[in-house]
Amino acid sequence: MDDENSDITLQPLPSDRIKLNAGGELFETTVSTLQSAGPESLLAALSNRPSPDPIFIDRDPEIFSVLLSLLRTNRLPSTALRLFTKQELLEESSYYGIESLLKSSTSPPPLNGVDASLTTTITPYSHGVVSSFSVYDVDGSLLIAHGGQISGYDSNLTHSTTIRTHLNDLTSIKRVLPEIAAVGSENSGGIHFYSLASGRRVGSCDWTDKSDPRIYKARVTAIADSADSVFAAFDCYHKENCVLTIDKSTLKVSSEFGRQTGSSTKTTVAGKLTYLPQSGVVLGSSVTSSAFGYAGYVRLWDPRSGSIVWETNEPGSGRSSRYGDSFADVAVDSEEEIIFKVCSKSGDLAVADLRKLGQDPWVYLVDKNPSLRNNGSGGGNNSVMHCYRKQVFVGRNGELEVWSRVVEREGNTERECRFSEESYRRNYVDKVEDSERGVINKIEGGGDRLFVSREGIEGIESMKRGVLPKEKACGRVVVLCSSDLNKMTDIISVKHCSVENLRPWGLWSPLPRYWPPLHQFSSLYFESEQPCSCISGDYVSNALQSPIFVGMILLTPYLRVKKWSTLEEDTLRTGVQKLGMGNWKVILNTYRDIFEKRTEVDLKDKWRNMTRY
Amino acid sequence: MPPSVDSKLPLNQINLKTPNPNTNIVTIDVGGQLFQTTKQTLDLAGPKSLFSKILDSCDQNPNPNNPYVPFIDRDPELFSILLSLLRTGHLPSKSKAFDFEDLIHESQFYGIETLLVDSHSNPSQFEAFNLEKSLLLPLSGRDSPSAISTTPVGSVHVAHGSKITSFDWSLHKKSTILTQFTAVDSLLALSPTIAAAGATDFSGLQLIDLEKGFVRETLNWENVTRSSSTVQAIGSSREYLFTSFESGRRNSNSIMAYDLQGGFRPVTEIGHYEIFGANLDSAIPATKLNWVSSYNLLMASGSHSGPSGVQGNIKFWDIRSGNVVWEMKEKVDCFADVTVSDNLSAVYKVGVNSGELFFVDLRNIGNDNSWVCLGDSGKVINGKKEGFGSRIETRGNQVFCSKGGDLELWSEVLIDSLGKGERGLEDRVVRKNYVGRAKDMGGNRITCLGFGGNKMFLTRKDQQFIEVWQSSVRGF
Repeated sequence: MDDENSDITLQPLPSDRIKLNAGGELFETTVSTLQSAGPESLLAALSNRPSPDPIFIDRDPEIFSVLLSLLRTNRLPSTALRLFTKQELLEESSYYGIESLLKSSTSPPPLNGVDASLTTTITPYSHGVVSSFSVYDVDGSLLIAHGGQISGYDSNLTHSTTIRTHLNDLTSIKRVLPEIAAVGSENSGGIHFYSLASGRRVGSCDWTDKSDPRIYKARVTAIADSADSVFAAFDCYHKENCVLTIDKSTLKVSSEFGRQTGSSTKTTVAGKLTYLPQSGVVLGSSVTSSAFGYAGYVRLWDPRSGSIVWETNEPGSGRSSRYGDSFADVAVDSEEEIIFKVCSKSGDLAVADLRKLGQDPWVYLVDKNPSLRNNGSGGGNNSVMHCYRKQVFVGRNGELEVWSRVVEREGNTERECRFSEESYRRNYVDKVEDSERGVINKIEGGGDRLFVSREGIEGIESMKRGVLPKEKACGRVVVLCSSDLNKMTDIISVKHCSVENLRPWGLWSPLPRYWPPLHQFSSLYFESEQPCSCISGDYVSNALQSPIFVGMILLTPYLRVKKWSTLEEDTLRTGVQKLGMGNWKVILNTYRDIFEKRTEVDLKDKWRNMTRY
Repeated sequence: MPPSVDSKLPLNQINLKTPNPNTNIVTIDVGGQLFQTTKQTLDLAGPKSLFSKILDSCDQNPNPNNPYVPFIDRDPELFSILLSLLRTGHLPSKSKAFDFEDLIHESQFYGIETLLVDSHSNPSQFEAFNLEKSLLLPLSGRDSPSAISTTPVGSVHVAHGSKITSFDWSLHKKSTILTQFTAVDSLLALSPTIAAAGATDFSGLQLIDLEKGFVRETLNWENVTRSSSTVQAIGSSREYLFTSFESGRRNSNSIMAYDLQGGFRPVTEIGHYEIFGANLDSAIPATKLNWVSSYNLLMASGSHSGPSGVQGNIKFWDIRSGNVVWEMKEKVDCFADVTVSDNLSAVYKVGVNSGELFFVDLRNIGNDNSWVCLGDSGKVINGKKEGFGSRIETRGNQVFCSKGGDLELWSEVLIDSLGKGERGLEDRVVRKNYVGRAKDMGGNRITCLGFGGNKMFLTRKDQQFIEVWQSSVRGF
């Protein structure tokens, strides 16, 4: 605090002070404050104009005062988001030329998996089941492929655009240029480039081979990109596949590598492609599962020469220390140059140093958290992985966990061995209720947010760090009960029920918009300021995936036989003393507020139990 | 945001109003709006604040014709609220229009955050009888809280699984770090950024930087066999940090005192016991350390559950001499939890078998006095462990005691006619209440209990959040 104060000159020179008139309201600030907006901005330009009179800006004064606070303190006043929408703030800040400042002040803190929690669920307006999505690492904006549509969301996760492609079911998507999305489908051929601004297809590539006429209608299974090229894995109908390099400036195929023929697991097309900028290689992996278990490969190609730098096949030779426990998914941390895999049978995680690859480079991580040891999830089936910010996020069926490194010392000294079997710690990101929403099929991080999509469930869940509920976290919830679960309009009673550890974001936001009674419901939430205590774990089951049943959680009233509290026991004792044993009805009515949900029979039974010993 | 009428005055009017150069009135220009206040008001902000600099610069420019008006390039509306805080000591109701984070951030700029803390989370605002559950602080992940540590300003640190989550005094900011422990069993916040953490299955006491999440220092104790040592309890006084260690082979234990001011230098070792043979009593390490500041003694208590029931001991140590001043052996109805109150000069325990509250007077320490039961003294002690898992803490003149999911509050009723002064604690009238309303009763078992600022924090078994209980605060 002291250091902060000493920087402030209390008496700026008279010439340093500057008066502004925004829409008729006077503001006074300093030239240095205005210049912190950056040399290109309108405000910095205004500050260079010496004038004794206040400089007039014909804009709204209220929104200007918010942006001036942003310039002064480098943080957006929290009242700003209450008064204005993000869109308004963004438009106004771009008028003054300070949108980068606004973006940096509203962007979430660095993502830490052990401190992340669900904030919103983003659901496209129509055809909400997400088939694929991609986060643009530059600014954290999001592209969602759902059905044949692409929906774009900006870094604040506000909807920016939706375009319809000629394909009917997109299965891979990647923003390869700020304005261009590359899409592919596993059911029709080619990679296609769509301009997000105009919604037009601006380019398209197919895999053709003049010498081989069978190469025809090849479909795209995975897309990755480097600074100047796009890599796309193509698969042909009769088991021939390769990776094509496409030049970003021309959107034309420049080279082909990794071509393979055959139908064995070692030669299937790569289902996942990652470009590693530090070493300039492309990592491709393929996993297939059959009645005989999982099988697959990890391969590193040098795209310039097209040769394989390193590869591993699982189940490999008997030399591997975990023979028969082949991987279910692979992820790579391109920053740290580490590969992670999750084993299909044991569910264990293994790491390999990309800088020191060999015959069996895997180090199997040991999980010491006793509360996670017997989670009964049954190995690594249905596992997906993603690396972000030096952490690995693993989705096992519906459960989301994070493996993060323990900081040992302040200066992280580069040791000879970069990790051991104990260098990562496993923790859950989600709660038990969250995991019951559906099987996780894709995890991706970007812009310090983590996005998770679930099989057959509408929308994408977004998580960020350090979220606390605003104001009162607890509130009474009105539960709507229905006699017939299939007829949602038939609401028979509105009942008060208290809710415990309720997380409003994740729980309420998947509600469909076209459902009026529930809309009314969510607006009733937080109505009362009473503290609360319960919601049962009776939640959406995987089988019930229609939006109606997402709402079902709310419609399940909380019923549980409550344990007798000491207060209730004491009251019962006093009641019997005063009113006599047997007068259960009188006792119950006298202390109605204490025996809230008890009946006369309950009292009688309890008394018998209490006096038994 | 239109400026409020009272705070905005034309400059020339102020010039007319200040004919006296020795006037007490100070005019400040904040972001284009003029505010007037007195030097006394600004003095309240303390010597480290920005306002003391303003006052200094005002004194350096005593020009009666052209009074010096310092300019601060900040938001005037937020300033007007902080000025009200300076004037009255509490926040005006119009501050509700702003988010609390904004006020905190602005008060940090002016260097008056302590005033804001005082107005919002002052320990004197704690009213034991008017507590209500006001907030649930969520913890990420699925681990239940294992230890909490609170600070006088009302911030709270909680260990859950291998993580430590800290909430600042306003409970608006949360941060989580990862530790090397699988579960933290003892946690103590030493400063806003450093916490001491230990576990019964991990060697050494770690001093953890809560901002960056790394271990600053590891404090270890070794016995003759040079085996590792686990941490059983942490306590602190103004000067020392106390740690109860047990060797990894569980054949010796000791309490170490470290210097809190001088870089955690080991100062002294007290109560080093080596176990030879089957002397069960010496094998019990201290599992709770309480500093009794009015007597300058350290209370170390530990218990052991064996085939013959639960046995334990409570020892009072003189740090300077390293001697036991007083010791109580617990053979019958041993404590489930024990605590000491400076205000009430008494030690309180919950009997593990009876589940009742007992106390013993500290004032005639050393005499052969024994436990006095405050609850149902005629209860038959059988093999049951009714008090198992109970927690007991004192706060001011009250004793809080958890039983299962309920929380009891024991407080003294002051009665005039009982005579004055000389009466012992036995004659006092102490009565029991339950904390909370009927719907708060009968929850999961309370696992941790702590007090900080004007709040009470508690955690329950299998629940991944902290309950915050407080009485209604003025303003927010």
